[in-house]
Amino acid sequence: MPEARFVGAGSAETVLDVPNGQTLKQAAVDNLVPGIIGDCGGYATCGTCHVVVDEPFRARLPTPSEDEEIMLEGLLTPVTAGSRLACQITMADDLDGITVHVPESQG
Amino acid sequence: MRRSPGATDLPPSISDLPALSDLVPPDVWAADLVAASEGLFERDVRVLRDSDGGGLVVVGHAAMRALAQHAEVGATPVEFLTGRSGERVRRATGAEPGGAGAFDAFLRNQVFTMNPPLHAGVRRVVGRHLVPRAVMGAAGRAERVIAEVLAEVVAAGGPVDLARDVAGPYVTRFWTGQLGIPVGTAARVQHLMHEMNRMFLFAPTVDDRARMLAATAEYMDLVGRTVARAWEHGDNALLADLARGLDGVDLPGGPAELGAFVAANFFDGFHTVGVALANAVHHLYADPADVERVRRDPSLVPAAFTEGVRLSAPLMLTTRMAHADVEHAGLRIPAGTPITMVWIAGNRDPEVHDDPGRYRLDRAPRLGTAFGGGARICPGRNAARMLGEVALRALTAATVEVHVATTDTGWVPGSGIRRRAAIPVVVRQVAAA
Repeated sequence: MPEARFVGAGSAETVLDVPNGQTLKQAAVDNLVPGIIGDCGGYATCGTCHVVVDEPFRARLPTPSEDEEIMLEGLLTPVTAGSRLACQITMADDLDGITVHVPESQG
Repeated sequence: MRRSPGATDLPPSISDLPALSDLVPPDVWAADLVAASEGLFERDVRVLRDSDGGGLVVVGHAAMRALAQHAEVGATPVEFLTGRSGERVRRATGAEPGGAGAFDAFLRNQVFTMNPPLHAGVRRVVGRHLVPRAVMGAAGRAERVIAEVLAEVVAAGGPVDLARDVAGPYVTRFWTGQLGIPVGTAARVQHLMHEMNRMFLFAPTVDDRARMLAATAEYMDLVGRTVARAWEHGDNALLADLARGLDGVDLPGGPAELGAFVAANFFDGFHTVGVALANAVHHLYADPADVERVRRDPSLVPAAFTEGVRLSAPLMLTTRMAHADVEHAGLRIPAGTPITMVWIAGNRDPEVHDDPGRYRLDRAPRLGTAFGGGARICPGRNAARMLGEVALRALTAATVEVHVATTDTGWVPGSGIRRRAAIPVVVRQVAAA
């Protein structure tokens, strides 16, 4: 099963096995990863699952939808080139080993 | 059939669930949803059958979140809501309720009653103005308005009602200002919203319904007209952008005009946020030690607001509907089933919150249900939070002293809105220590 690595405040790491087809948000919420809340349940309308994706995985993700872009632009936390909403990242074989950073302000 | 994640721990059919009325008499349920829900948790019951109509009642946090996030669990149609409103009058009084009039128009313009494909497009029109960065851009205005309101109540000298005289004018003036509605209209808007609150009564009289309908008609007309006039004036960027957004939503059944759209969707911003703020102040000031902690450490203000609305979210419950056959935790929910989400109970579920009835500033943020959840989570929650936190900062500032005359006024029974009958306070200006 593919793995995802969540890096939070103080470089605390959580490594999860995430089945193909499951979003990183759902895996994080199910495993109580600090800083990932997911109030809207995966519709890109709350911004409470903001993560910053490490290279080389950014280019393997689909382009953000309009809703995701609106939400990312509207966040108070600094948004960087790798910023995405974890609810919009669906695990697949080519994402095995993906590392995402949870902004400190969410922790 | 679409399944929501979760353990298969419910019976397969709704008819096998415990009936709400068998466990909680209807008058007890209507009088105090919080106490009734706590009683259900003690019996370890979290999903029930609504003995009246075959629907579901959900009080448990996990089931509530799972169902709220389910793609096939959507908004209840307007006809369902207006029909239920009339039925409540019929039951309470035996009288015929008459037509829904302006209430129908109000509901048809609300994003909360819309389903796909309309929902996402209309929600986006409002939502882009309510993301955290956008609402924080208006925090300076909120600070000016709360300072103005507090100066007025300080000058008044005697006791005032926190909800009616502080929280209500504050949020109403803030939003009317944002929307280009003249200052002199704000007090009338606040009064009309108070009357419209009768729409949340569980057993309204004919008079309640008549007053609610009259107020809704005047509110829709007044706010609709003044917003349209402000937009035509051409110098309100928010209205111009909302109008452009609406033009882009070219789907049948969508809002026809900007004024009605703004009036219907910002009602919650005007009214519900004021109640949320009053409730948050009530809980904070229940213990002087908590007030002192926040005065000494303003970084606790967000926790004070969050904890206040966790305990007493203004909108205690809403009804959603299964739009296709849905399965949750082994329970088959047929299409067309109404699902009552008791949001205030989700925030007090002991499976999620330790010592859930206690106000704790140090409580770790958990998955709250004060603003609902899922795709239909309240789009205005960031604005509500900003307005609440700005006001709490002002009320707990070193130069302001708030004396709550009594905390013994009780919650208003028989309504889906949780609010105190009154919160009498005296506000004084003091020299900074």
